[in-house]
Amino acid sequence: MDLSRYSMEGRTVIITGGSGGIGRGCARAFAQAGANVVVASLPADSIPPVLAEIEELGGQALGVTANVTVAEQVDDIVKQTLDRFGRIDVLLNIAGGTYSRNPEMPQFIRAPLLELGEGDFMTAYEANVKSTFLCARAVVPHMKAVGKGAIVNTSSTLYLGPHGKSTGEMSAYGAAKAAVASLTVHMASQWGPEVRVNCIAPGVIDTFRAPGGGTRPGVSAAANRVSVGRVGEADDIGGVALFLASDAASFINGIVMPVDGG
Amino acid sequence: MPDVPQFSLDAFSLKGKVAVVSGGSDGIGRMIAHGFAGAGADVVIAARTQEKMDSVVAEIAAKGGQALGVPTDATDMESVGRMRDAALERFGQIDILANIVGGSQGPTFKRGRLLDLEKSDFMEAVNINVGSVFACCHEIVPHMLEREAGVVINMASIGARDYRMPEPVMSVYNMTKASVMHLTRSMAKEWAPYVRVNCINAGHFITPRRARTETPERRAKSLAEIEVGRFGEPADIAAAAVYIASDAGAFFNGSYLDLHGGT
Repeated sequence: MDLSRYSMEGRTVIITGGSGGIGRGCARAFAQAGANVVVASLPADSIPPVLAEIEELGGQALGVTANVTVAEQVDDIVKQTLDRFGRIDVLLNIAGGTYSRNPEMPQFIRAPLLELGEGDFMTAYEANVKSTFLCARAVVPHMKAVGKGAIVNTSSTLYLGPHGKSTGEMSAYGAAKAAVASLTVHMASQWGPEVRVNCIAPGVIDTFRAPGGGTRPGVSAAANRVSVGRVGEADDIGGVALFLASDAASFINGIVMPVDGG
Repeated sequence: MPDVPQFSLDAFSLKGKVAVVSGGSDGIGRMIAHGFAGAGADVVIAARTQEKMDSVVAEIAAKGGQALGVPTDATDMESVGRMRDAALERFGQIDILANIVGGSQGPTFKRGRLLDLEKSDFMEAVNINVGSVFACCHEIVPHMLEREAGVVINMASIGARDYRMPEPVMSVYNMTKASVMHLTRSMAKEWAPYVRVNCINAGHFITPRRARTETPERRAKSLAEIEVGRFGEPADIAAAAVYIASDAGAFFNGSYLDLHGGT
């Protein structure tokens, strides 16, 4: 076995939320592994710096401004990707979040359950679950047609699987991420053997931190609760996403993988 | 505190690392020993049979790697201690410990339905599958803590996962592997932040032992359960172990990786 099993040379990856913290870490990892990277994200002005970073790392990049909770816009990501690169090998569903940071998306807050409105609850579900469904549904026919593909979804340790612990504000998000974990298992069993579908359940990841930059308040307290003594970085998730999407993981399917530093 | 990796494909490299693989002369251990060597690590094979170890050491050397075989009873602390000393004498350090020794049956114990087993079958399964993990960690982890760096990979099984309906003859084996999974969490907590501890929950791999003992009917039934439509291959388990052992897995800790092809 050599390290080329982890390579993405010649492959095309779509990364939803590719201009955000974790998405950007994944974009870097895939570019360094040789992939063509499609950054599908919002707002429009968040995308060019990521494309520049990908190109600096020697990768080819395409940006698509899209709201991944709207089917027509998801279809547009697929169309533009095929027009530019002619193939879709990997989909990383990173778009989502605990609340809406993005002014161009429907707004939802994170709060204890009794303080959540119906709109907050449903929008958290749309942003995290519906987006995963729509994007996966749109790429699978292309992957099936060429006989191979890999999808990596993003849940959270807050989905309260084996490594979860409830925290006050994260209930709607946690429930949505539990749905993503469940959806992963259903997708894997329906779309195999050609398309593998897996899910990462990250712990605390400092998505605000630029590489080499300082640490934001609250993060050092969180780091004390993590066995490895630090919170995660976007690059940590880039590494596991690359592993799961690559041929190195061709026997890994339908799993939810907690990556939380212990 | 370990550094955050700046990501590149080199993050998966094990160059300059030394890995001990218990049970590394055969089956899954041999697959992992080759994987570690392929990723650039020096490898210590700790197993019982000298001839089998010699052939794995020769295979690794033929591919340009460095390996050492040390006859070891992985359930015996004194024997593991002697192996550790030999490893340190040859390579100077131990960065990675893969605890692969184990099995559902062996020369000293049989598997079967609970009421068909002797107490000795039960206790020996615990000794081989869980006691070996304890003994190897007990003798090697202090060295890692002293160096403030190390990775332990334990081998569990999808049979340890509670969503699986247990197969009756595998009751004791599955229980021991559930113990390994749980022990993994405790070890990660106790040895934080320096030593990362994870386990791999392996699904169906056709090891030489399994090839000798399994009926065609049982084999076909297993294959039908796997969504990717094939059994696990050496490169699959090697790639998973290399990911976990490498800097790319620096934030993967106290956790498990299900390696079953979908089920």
